[in-house]
Amino acid sequence: MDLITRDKWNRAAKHFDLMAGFGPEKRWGPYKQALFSNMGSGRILFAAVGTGLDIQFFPPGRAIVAIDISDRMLEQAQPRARTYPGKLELRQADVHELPFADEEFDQVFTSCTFCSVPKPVAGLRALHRILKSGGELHMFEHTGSRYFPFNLMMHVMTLFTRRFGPEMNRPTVENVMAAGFRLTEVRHVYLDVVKTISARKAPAPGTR
Amino acid sequence: MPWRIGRPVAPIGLDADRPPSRHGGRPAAARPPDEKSCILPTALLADRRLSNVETRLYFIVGDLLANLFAGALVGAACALIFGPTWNMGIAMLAGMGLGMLIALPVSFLFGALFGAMEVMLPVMLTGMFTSMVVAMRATMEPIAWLEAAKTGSWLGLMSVGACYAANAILRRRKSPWI
Repeated sequence: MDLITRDKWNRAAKHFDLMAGFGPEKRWGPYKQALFSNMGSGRILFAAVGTGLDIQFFPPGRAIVAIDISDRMLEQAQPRARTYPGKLELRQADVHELPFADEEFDQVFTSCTFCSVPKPVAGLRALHRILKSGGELHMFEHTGSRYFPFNLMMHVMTLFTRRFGPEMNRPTVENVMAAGFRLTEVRHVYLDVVKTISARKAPAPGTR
Repeated sequence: MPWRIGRPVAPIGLDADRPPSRHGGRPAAARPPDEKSCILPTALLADRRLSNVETRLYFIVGDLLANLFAGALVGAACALIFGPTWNMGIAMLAGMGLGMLIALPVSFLFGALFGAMEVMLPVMLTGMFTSMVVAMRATMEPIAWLEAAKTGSWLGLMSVGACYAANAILRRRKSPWI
């Protein structure tokens, strides 16, 4: 497990809800709810559940395994997980070293996850491994921008924010492709910075 | 979810015609109306929340307040720091860095109440442009901090407008990857 990252997010856990619990959740809630409505009846992995702020947007009755690298974050997520009307299991895990068998999950969901994963392509490859052939990846992420002056500002902000939290200039869509996924949909939520990304693991040969 | 009475309607920016997921999940726009979401006020609210520009009053007011405050603060700080003894080019460059530096904590403060990127980026833009404009003016003639704060506030409002326009354009633009 990446202990530096774990400790960084353990430190952030105390004030995380103060920063992200009200404004951002209220603003992004409808978009997250729309994305998570893609959750199906199969086995679902939710990568980086944090303090569980997103649990309120999960459709009821699903079978979800939610992981996070930070044990302090998971402690805070516990009460929210208990209120979920479905099967929701919280586990501490590093996305680079997922403790799951190959092709174990039907769908993977992430929410503001790959701004913080130290090796994003390696992390996405790990998600690719545990997804079944034809399985779906649905992400709600903020990324870098392709446009000036937003790209300049994201680079400047990253110099500060990477010390205590996420990086602001990640090329997450390109990383998804580099990890071997086939993009099915990219939708902008705010500018070209906040977006939903949907992708699919190529089906096994001989299947549709 | 966005519904009008009797018939599901696709929100702008989501696929209405997208087929159901292989794994059983259904896109929001294709789900049958449930007992709660067919009530007209909820439907109108939901449509507004997912439209291409921000239409929720709480967030519009928040965006305006954050940028008014950031602009005023950065403007006043630059008026106090820069003066006619500075080289204009250096003052503008140094001001740009200073403006973004001041804007960052302001964006965290307001971001907790009104959203993350939607607050951070306009506030940073306000900081960057206000500091450049005020630093440039200050090298030509001394400028009072109150006057600079006023200029900063106006530039803050302009930055919000520019970001709203850029957002409306970019959200309609087709993804370059697919």
